[in-house]
Amino acid sequence: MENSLSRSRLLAALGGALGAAALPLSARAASAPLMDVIVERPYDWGTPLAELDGLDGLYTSNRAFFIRSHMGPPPSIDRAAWRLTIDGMVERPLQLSLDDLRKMEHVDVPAVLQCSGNGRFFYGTAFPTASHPAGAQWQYGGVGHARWTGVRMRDLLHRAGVKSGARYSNNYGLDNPLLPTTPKFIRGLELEKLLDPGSILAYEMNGEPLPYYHGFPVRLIVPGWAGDHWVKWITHMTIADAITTDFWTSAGYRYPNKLGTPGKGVKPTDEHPVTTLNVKSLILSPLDGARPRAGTATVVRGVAWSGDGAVVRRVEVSVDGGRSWRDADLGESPGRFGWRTFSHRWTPQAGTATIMARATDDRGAVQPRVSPWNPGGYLWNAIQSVQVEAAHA
Amino acid sequence: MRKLVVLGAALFAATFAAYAGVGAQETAPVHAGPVTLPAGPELLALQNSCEACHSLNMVTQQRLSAATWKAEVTKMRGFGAPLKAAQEPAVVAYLARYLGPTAPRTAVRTTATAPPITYGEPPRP
Repeated sequence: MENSLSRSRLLAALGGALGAAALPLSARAASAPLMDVIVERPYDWGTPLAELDGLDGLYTSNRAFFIRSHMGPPPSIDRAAWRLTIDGMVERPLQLSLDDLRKMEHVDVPAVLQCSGNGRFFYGTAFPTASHPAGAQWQYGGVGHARWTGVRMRDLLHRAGVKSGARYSNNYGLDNPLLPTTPKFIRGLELEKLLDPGSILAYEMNGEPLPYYHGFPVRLIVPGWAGDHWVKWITHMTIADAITTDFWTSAGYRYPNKLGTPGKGVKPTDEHPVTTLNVKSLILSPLDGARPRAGTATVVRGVAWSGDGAVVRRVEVSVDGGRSWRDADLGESPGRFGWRTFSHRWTPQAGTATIMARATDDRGAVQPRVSPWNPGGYLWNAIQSVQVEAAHA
Repeated sequence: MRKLVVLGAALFAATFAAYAGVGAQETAPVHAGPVTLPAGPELLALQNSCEACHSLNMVTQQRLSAATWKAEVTKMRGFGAPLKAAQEPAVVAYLARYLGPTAPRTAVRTTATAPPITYGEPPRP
């Protein structure tokens, strides 16, 4: 099994279609993967790099998919009693059961889900003496790639009939804070984004029902936008002419309009909501500290993606710490919002080597050496460095 | 009835004592990667104020300036963290001293088995 697994993953990484067909859906999820514990409770648990492509060499398995919590999950959810309400500035308010949703036309959307704070830890590495951005110190694993299945938001909004002047949807999940004084997680976003055919209400993840920690029975999928928009356990969408002024939209998840001094706070009124993800790549193999065999061909492989529908069109790999770069082979793009694999054959010489990958998207955005410091520590997308030491067997 | 009042008063006193940092000598230092947080009323206040809603490692993994710690503590008191206003300056100074930007930081990797997949309710521990 392990042999065929490695082989299929290698083939998938090299862009072969055979890899995708070779593995049953939950082959790796069954083996109880380890997660990187960022915050013990409520769960902020990241996916280790080696697990990111654990499903068919392209997707992240449901079991190993990263978990980000604001409040922790609701205590339980009765599938039969669950309803989604769409009200506010609509001609025909809707109240739909899960079965109602399942009867509607559904689509599959491969999409990268990334926490806007993924990589926050590295701001502290890049700017060591400035105050590090406050928040959970995610490194690589606050990201995953899944095939989401559900109903297009544009179909639902059409059914409800959006009134003129409406611009936002303010969205509520069933999770609640422990204390009444803690603001409930509510997230507003532009209707324009929800009208994108990739924006869906998903009830399946990688072909299986949405797991509890990922928002059972339904979560909002806002592909290309940061994870805080992807409201879990969603139950209520209010269509309005103004975005919610609740904490998580008006003060949390904001990026400065003008970059300032590293370490210095910025007033929320001088910031705007973090929305689109940016171009980024991760090297999944070799891992930092690996000891490949010198003189033997190996493969540097990983995944690359961008935000808001931009598609990665080039990944370059350096095996000499960024002095020289070679184009990597790219796997097929699974769609505007998915990630694609890259691979680069390499025969290490004895000694240490620093491996890097640099992605470019079809709008010309390139990964930087260092991402600009911002108070929330959002959108880290700088080039990753992996140190290995090759030795003769 | 009298018993109940006495019990209530004792409970209140115990709760108040905990929040006020009385009994700090009973706490042990907290080891968080390369940093050790010494025992004392500030640590006890942090444990009592923060851990109701989230684990203390949410705090100990951060490396913030005094101004940023103050903003975080103020935010969390607004969220309902039971930290008294009078305790805030000492707690902020403690955080800035032991968990400031230049405090040592290593990527100690803590792992745990992924929770099992469930649907109608979260997995039982």
